[in-house]
Amino acid sequence: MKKYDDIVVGGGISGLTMALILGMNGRKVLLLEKGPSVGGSVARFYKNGIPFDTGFHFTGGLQNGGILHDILTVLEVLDLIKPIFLSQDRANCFYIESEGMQYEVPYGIDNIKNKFKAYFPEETSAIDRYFGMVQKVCDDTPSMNLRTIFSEHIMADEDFITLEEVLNKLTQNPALKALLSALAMCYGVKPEEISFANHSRMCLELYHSVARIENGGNALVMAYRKKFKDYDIEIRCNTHITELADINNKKVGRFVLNSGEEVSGDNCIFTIHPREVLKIMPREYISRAFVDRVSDFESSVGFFSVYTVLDPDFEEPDFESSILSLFPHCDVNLLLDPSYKGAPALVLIKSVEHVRDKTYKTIDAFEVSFLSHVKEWEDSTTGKRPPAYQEYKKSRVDDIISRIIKVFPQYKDKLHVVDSASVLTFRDYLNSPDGSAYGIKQKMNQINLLGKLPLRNLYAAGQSALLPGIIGAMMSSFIVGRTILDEQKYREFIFRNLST
Amino acid sequence: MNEQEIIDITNKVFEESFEIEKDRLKPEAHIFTDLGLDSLDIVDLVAALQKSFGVNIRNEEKVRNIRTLQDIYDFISTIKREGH
Repeated sequence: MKKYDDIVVGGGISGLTMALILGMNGRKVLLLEKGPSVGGSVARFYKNGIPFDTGFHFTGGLQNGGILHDILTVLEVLDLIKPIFLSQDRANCFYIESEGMQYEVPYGIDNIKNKFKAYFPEETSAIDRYFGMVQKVCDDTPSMNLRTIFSEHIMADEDFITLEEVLNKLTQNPALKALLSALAMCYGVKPEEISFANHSRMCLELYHSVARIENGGNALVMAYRKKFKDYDIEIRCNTHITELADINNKKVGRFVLNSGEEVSGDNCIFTIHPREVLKIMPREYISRAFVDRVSDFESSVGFFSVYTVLDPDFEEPDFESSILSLFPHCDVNLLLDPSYKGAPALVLIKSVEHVRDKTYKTIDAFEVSFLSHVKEWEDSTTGKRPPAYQEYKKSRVDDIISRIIKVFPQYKDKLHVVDSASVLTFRDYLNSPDGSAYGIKQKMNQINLLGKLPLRNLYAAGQSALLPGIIGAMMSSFIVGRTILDEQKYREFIFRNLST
Repeated sequence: MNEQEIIDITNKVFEESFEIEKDRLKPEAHIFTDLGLDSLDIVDLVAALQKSFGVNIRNEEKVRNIRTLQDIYDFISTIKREGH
């Protein structure tokens, strides 16, 4: 039986980060991925030779001193990727259809504040107070900064008040409220359900800067793979754990894999969906309380996506990487409600992709969706879906294309649909139980699975553990690293490449 | 919520969520040594109590000091009194 120090389950960005942190600290690590390749939703896919992003499109925190900049510095991968910062004065645009108004949101806190004050001159104090509160919550959160990750996490008052309650106290202006909660699309929870603190933690880095990465998430995955070679970290794809065996004193001695092989490890860290963790845990070793806690987690939002490319001969000199979100109205709670029947929120991401000597102008479109929208076909699998499902997909694609043409009339007859994906596609392609984009829904007062699990050498990390997105997923791995590794050594590791 | 209700709901959490027989649920019972919980169970206990009482449990210092069922009864009545 092969012996490892640590076994990491799940080859998404959290699992990759976890394995690299442990490997860089001299441990013998095995990474298991159920699917055919690592990267999870961060990896891109190619169709007709054109690259498209699966789940990672843009990020905050890549500016000097930003969280992601720090993380990638510590992991020695920053020099292996190339950030493409979006145009600072209109990084994130929001078109609120009911107001007939397009808002261009820059980055840099002062820039955003000034722009918002120009849009809403009556609301200057609300705007100042909102950004002051966001900044304060993040300053007080040790896990928002690798330099303070060793301090104990203390809940803030803002962990116990919803985003909606805070906004209602600050302003009565529906458009301003919608814009201040609009980045809910980046974590998939209603303003009435997420705490103001977690909203702030998700948004701050995107207020500081918005960037894409050249070659998308694949550049990150390739950089990690290079480091895995340097640190001798073993990856096995198409592999998952089928049984936790030899459990003594609440410690797992043996991990049985689907190949029939057995391995041992001092620790095993699950970065997969909590419901998948629950399936693996033997019932006789866990309490009903644990089962209930995990079963009560709800799903975050999912997306119906359309991947398009513009005619190669279509000229548009100022076509550049940019984000435009269409909100039919200002009620963000409603836009994130699975039972809402109106026009969904739609996010359009433009990108210029270079593949060898060719250049492609692509537009990825993401419309809010939920597993309940495709419930009648949930028992079907990729390649074997019934005609009614194909019709659903076609009509939704047509609808999205007409919405795109409405805002960009110049693309009429120039835009070609290359592929599309429903929540079921994401579910099956990514082995994610509900096809949601951001793991479990981060509801206020919820206690996530993070760190030690009910069996003593098992741990949980991942985007459902702390906060969604690549920063939250990576940070969860750093937090678990702190529990597993010797504190002094871990501190040296963090500060080896990070300036104090 | 009166004291008996707090006792009943807490005991129900131990009976249903931790599968512990009713006759072992005495106020002086130590949750680790007598009831067999483990430090790893505490977060599940907190989640179950939050749900059953509809409260937010945020004072981690006080949670760490919990030893007996009576400590939990007292802890919950303090939270209820403070109106969290």
